Amino acid sequence: MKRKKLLSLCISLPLLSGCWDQVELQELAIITATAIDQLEDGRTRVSTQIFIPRSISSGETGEDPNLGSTFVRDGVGENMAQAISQLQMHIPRKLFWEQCKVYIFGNQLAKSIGIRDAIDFLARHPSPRGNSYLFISEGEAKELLILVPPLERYSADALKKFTNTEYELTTTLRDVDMGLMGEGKSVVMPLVKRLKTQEKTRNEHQTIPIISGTAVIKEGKLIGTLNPPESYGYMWLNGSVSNSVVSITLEGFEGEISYQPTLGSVKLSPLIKGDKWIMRLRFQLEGDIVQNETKLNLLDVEVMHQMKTAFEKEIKKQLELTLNKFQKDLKCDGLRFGRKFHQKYPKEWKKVAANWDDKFSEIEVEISVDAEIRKPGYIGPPAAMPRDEVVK
Amino acid sequence: MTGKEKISAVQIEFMMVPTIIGTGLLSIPAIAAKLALHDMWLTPLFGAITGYITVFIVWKIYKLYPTLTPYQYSEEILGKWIGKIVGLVFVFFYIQNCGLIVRQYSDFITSNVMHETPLVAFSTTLLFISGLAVRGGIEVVARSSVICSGIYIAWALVVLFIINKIDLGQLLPFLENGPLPLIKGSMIHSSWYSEFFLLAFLLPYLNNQKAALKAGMKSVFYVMVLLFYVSFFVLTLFGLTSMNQLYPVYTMIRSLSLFGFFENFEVLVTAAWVLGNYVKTSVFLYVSCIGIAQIFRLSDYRLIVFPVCLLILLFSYWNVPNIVFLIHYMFTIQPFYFMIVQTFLPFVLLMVGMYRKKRRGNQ
Repeated sequence: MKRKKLLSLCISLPLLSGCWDQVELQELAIITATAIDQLEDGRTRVSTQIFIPRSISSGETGEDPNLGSTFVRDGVGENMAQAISQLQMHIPRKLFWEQCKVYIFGNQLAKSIGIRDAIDFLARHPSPRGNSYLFISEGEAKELLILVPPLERYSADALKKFTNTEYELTTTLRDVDMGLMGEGKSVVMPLVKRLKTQEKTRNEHQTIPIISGTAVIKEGKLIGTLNPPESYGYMWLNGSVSNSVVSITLEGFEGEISYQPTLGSVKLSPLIKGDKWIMRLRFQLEGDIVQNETKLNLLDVEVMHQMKTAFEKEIKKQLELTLNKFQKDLKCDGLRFGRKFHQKYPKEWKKVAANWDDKFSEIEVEISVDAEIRKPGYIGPPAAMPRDEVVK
Repeated sequence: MTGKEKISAVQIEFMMVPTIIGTGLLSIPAIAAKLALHDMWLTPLFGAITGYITVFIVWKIYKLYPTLTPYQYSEEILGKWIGKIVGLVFVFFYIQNCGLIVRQYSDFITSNVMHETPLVAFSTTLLFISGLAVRGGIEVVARSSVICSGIYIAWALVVLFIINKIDLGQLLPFLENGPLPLIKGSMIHSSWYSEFFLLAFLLPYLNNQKAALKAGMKSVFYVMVLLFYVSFFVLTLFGLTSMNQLYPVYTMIRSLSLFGFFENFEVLVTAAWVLGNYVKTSVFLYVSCIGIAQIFRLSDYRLIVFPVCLLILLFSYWNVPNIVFLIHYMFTIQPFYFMIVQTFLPFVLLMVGMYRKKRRGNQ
């Protein structure tokens, strides 16, 4: 019996240590962000931002903070897999992908060969996660990795923090995979660029990447971008309204009144009437007045009513702008209308599925907006104005 | 022949649940999604019908021969030689499938957690532990499975954390291409549900005969709920991309992030799944070993446990060359193969057995 116990102990000892796959932390190069670019000769360059562990622990030892806590290394190859294999040869430690949550695709790559090949690599590789964030850069993607943020530890951290906020568009690997596979064959991704800093004291690289707009990807390729108002419209269509401001002017009064929605919800209900495909869009939002440039006293039921109508009109106008962009300019269903029609009308869907993009541009969208104004802010009448000048 | 060992109805439930879903969880959702598309979430419910039928057949035979295992009563029912052949079919079936299970388990660990470790490291350790448990007897398997299955099933709670990311719209359109895809998808489930025939090998040890049917039906119900739960979340989270994944449930757990800093649940979940696979392998190994012992009238099955382990290890390499072939096998062969051996064959046994009993009663 004793011998048996000893034997089983001996057998289990080498197995318990997990000998084949054991890696020491000192043997790893922890990747925080990856940028994928296409070079002029058509080859793919993969740049990774690699974390330097020492700089975190030595926060107050007087080390130069300008050194940054990361460095960037490249690998070039015919495709992403080859590029990464070359990248591994440039780094003495084993690449560790598990912590990498940020992938940025260069504009050139997205436009010419598309991001699909790279997405395939990421989905096939065992390490990147389904919830890593994907971005399209306005220019070269690598440029964003070498930035040294003044506040965050490294530029990928800054980008990741933006994705946590509600008002920015975020897409994960899963979203992109589902979007490109789905009915519309397209996905809308955040566009990032480097924030230009005016401060003379800081050096050129001491800034952060920011989300600057919206990129529309169709069948893996970048086909267009949305400008800021259109981007707001797109965000609204997804029910995310915070940090957007709508300004109107009321007839007969000088100056603008601004409204900031805090809650929003969108309801899309598709309808097929004979030959006509209609999407009924109901947009409900709640918010506050944040600025009043006019002489109007906002504590007035009649004024409130006028404002509500004006805001609704303005919001509807912006939504139409976005819808127009998708339906007429891009002819690309980035709004997932196809999914909605497919859900409700599977039979009719089958007939148009092959040329959905044409059908999509013909869809009539009926927009109804309900913008509730909860309060005029902390004050009613305009601030810092003599009482007799206030209207009403 | 059953000896003094006794197990309770609750232990049977704890043994059966991981025995069915141990490997089923890994690949069923993807294959079912390929066939049933957006109706995938309903497939576990329809597939469960096979499970209920199998348990019912098992229970009916159990009422005729409450102390015998299928190897023994097939000899009683069909005569010595044909009975032995049927018994050998079962033995071969379970040894071969145990090989498949071990292979799936090792494939899963090597492709997800430890990429550089050879398959054989996982196969041998799993078979060694299971072999030790089986040598200890059915009571040891039953008692250890209560602990292991408890931990194994607890991981399912982790999935609840993705509840804010799901899109219920993925459940629509409902029955887009008619009911046929749904039936096809359910057939994939059926091959796993038919494994409830294993119950027949455990029931002779049950301490309370009246609880047999209830325990069996309850296990089918638990399995159905778990598979439904998992399929539902896989479909609502991934939509149709779930059919591209080899291990959609694992991918789902990988994408979990709780409050932004609790991540990497998959390692814990994999550890729990190892326990579930231990229960599954033990039950299969036990059934194979007592089969050989009872057919060849060996005095003790314990002697052949480790030789059978070695055979199973070899079968794990003989069965499938790679995962592509494995999925093809699950698509095309497995549903029919499993249901013929584990549902249809027992049904024939039951019919002949009832006929014989009736005739004996008339005489």
